[in-house]
Amino acid sequence: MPDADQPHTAAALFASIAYLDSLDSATLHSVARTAVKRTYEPDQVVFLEGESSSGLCVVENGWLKAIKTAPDGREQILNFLGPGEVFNAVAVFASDANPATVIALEPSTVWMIQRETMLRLLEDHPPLARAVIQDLANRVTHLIQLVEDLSLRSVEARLARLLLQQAQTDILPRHRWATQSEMAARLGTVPDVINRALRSLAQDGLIKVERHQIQILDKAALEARAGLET
Amino acid sequence: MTQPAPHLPVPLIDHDRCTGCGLCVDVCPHGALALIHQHAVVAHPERCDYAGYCERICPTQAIERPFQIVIVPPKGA
Repeated sequence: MPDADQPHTAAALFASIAYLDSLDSATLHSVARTAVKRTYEPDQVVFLEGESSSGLCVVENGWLKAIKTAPDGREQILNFLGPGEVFNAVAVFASDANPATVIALEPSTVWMIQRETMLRLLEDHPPLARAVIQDLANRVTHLIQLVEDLSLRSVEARLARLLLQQAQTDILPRHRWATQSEMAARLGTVPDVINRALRSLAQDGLIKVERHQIQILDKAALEARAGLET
Repeated sequence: MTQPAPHLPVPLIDHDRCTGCGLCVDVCPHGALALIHQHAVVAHPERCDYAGYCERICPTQAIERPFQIVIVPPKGA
């Protein structure tokens, strides 16, 4: 549903993200007037992989996940999307179908900027084009890292890295309670394998699985197991 | 799973996946779970010791235990 009452909200949101902050105020308000606001409940699908692209999406609030799904239902999380993040750029600029499925994890508000609007802006605003290229380059880097992890690192090493990331950087403040299923989805495996890897790391004294907590006992050794330089 | 729990959580049960088979109720050594309206629920959270038998036995992976991941400072640090 278009939300004609809140163009200022959208303009303020767009101005606050690096992706669009090169645009002047008048342009941002112009984009905001044509943007469409959508709200999603937890587990609601924003769009499905393979569907035709609907536009560039900007998260106002909430958390979502971008996933690829196997025929047997197993999912691989590509990334999590939080407030101020932009997604679906690949489909918009490649004029292609959505490359992944996006699902809301909690009540979320997403603004969608029509593809035609974005293409027109790119032609008129070279700084925006540079920001888009920068963003796409970052996404390629992230996906190269993901391919490296999935193809070249053992589940144990990937799990070690995930534990360190989640404990240290707190990049997912809404997800500090991690389940084995969630870890499996992020690492491209199944909960049983995660369970075995946790036991292996615990037997080696790197971690301890306590009630409600996975405790990292030896950070340096876990970093070495993760293949991270110390 | 998506909400930060102010208190220590109990196993999460996805009622869309739960078939009401009752295996988790039978396997829990402390009687923390019960079947209500053909769905498993943690009826007595105070009894749950987080052992994970329910999570492991569930044939539809409807039960999950959330964990917090923390770094324990070395002793003396």
